[in-house]
Amino acid sequence: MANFGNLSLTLAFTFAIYAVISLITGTKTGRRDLIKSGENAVYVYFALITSAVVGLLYLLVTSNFQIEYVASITNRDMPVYYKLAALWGGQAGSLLFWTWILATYAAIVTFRNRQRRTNLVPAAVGIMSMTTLFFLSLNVFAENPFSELAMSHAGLEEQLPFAPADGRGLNPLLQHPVMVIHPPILYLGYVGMVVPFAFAIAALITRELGNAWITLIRRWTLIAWGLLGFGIILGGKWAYMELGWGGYWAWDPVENASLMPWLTATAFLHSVIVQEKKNMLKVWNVTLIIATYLLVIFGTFLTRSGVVSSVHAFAQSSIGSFFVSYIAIAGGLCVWLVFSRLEYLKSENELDSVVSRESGFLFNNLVFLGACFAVLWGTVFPVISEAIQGEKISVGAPFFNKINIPVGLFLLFLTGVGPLLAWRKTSPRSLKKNFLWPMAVAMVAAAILFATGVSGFYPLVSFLLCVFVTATIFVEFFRGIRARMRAHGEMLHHAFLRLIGKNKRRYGGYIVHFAIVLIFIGFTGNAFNRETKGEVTEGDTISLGAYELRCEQIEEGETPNYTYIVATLSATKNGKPMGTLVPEKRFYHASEQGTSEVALRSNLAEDLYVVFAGVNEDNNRAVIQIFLNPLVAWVWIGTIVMIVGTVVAILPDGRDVRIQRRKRALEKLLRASEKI
Amino acid sequence: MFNRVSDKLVCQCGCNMILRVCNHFECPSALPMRAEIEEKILAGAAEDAIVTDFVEEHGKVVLATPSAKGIDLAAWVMPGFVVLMGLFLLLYFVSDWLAKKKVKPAASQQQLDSGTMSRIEDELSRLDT
Repeated sequence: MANFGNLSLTLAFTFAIYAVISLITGTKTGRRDLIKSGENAVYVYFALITSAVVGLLYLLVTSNFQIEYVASITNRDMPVYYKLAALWGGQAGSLLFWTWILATYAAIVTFRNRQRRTNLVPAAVGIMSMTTLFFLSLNVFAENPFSELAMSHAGLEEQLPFAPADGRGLNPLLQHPVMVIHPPILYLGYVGMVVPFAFAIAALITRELGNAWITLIRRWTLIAWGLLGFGIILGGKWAYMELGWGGYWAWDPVENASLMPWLTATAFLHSVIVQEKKNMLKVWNVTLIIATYLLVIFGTFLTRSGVVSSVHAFAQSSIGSFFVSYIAIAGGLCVWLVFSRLEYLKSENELDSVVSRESGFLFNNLVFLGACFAVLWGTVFPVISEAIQGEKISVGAPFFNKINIPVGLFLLFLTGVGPLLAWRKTSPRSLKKNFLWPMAVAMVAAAILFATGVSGFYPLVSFLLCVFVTATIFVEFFRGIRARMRAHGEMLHHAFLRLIGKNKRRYGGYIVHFAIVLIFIGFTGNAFNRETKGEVTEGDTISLGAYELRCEQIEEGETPNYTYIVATLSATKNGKPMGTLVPEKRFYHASEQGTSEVALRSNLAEDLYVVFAGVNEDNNRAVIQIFLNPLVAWVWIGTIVMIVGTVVAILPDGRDVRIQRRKRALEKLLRASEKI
Repeated sequence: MFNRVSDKLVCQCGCNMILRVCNHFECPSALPMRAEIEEKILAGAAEDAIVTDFVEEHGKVVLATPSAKGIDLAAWVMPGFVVLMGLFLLLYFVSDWLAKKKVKPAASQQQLDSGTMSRIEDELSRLDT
């Protein structure tokens, strides 16, 4: 099976080279036969990489420890679903997974556009194949997941195959149900950003820099953006449940690596609307999507090269030089392409007024990029500082919080302001009309919160802005619904649904904005977190706020995979029983690592989060840590709303469907006439 | 005081987490560091003195945030500087666009306003694709 995997990858590498050459040459020369052949090569390398993935999964499930990757990432007693998840649990496997997702995207883009007669698609697939080729080169030459273990024997010159009795096991922190879905979702979003990039570069190569490429990538970008956002929050959920430190975001370099392209992609999703409506910002949009792509590759480099310290980075590896070279070459080529096509990227309109939707988007972009730069700068600063001073420094969560909280709040403010500004020019009268009620409602809400004891500048501002943005979204829906009810005599719920249905993109966007408000409510809850720690034995109590936990039992046990110690705690709130909580500490045999399994009681107001922190060896008492985290549930609720909004925005409008039908009919006619 | 001090320091096991929140199982770095802080607090040491002791022992890498001195000051200044530069560029382009708009003859606008033009262009581009 290892040979089969190796052969598949080597053949895929060859076919990817062929696909790149034939698709780019076919596009430049207009030879349809070359393009067709290149597209077939894409299907072939996709099938070959799929075979390699299936082969590796088989080796993982059957515990073939002769394969170095299998021995380093699994052990016999691991459940099958974690053995399958081990595909993305280690360096070589996750790189193969990256390649496979990209090849899948390339095959889908090729298949979906197989009848489109434009040079954009083959050029874009050629660019995607180029990125696939880079990752395949890593799979084949640097981090081959099918490498076999071998060891020297006395008296023999050559090394002989070797298989240990058992593997080292998957990192216990990764043995969590969320980790079965978080990496695939994150990768789908992360790798999906290659699709809009490929179309942007294809547009530059073919000089087809009208709005065609923008139209083609709109849904791809939204899908990738939505999945990346969902993946990031799922990662937060995993950290919250598995790392056991009471939070969900630690500004870890690996977390930052996924956030940065999401920020630039969000900026792109906004500024591209200006290009669609006004034919402006063409250079800017191409630059944003290139930046997103380079940040995706850079993020992959950060995670895998060992260049920065992180709780969940992969092992130190030599592949850093591959990435640095690729980023330098790809970045250089992109800059050259943009400069050489500047005459095709000229704006066809000018800004009419500073107070307009267009300039609102520009400010939004500035702040998104500012936030992205702050995250990037904080992430790489230890490396820069060490290179200059020769002394390593740390840039931890307090730095990122200090810089990004005000930036985030300003973005939240723009989320409310942007939709209230009119295209071209907003008159002072319109400004007053649009802002008066939302701002008044927000000020009243802030006054009430202050009067009820909510203190602190940032929390108050955050809540005020959350109310303001919600009010602006409500006003937008209210006006639209009222207009429909008056014009068509519709009932409220019909008017609501049809309003969204008639302009899914706009109202899907508002739903996403509302989701951001909910997520910010959850973030703001961090300002009121409380915690305590205590040592208990059976019969002891420990309390925090209105909660009291009584230790009923402490029990030790063993499964084939790990030993554990659990505390059974009966909880009461204001004296009322609320069931038992069972925090657990595990120690995994194969990897010799421990983990915390958090016990959680969550409601809309707060999370009671209990951690079995360890055992005091001096007195044999259990160390229990309790966190009271207000409003966390809103982060997860906001994420679900964000997915709903993204799906609504992705769905085609009735007008789009009609245009697509006409286009397909025209293309059929064209092909029929060519045959005649 | 323990929380304030341990929030200013980073665990040295390589996890890059704030010392107070690192909860690695029997962490060889966080546990002794936290014990040391507790000892120093009991001995009556001041907050800044405890932090300084840790910096002397481990180097600047133990601090959770860069100091505001020398090269490390750049960590704090650069994000603001970049945003200001971006704002400056943005204002430059916006004023340039507005100036261009003013010198353009209004004749074309009298025939079709730009909103209608963009809608027509939008429709045409959709049909093109």
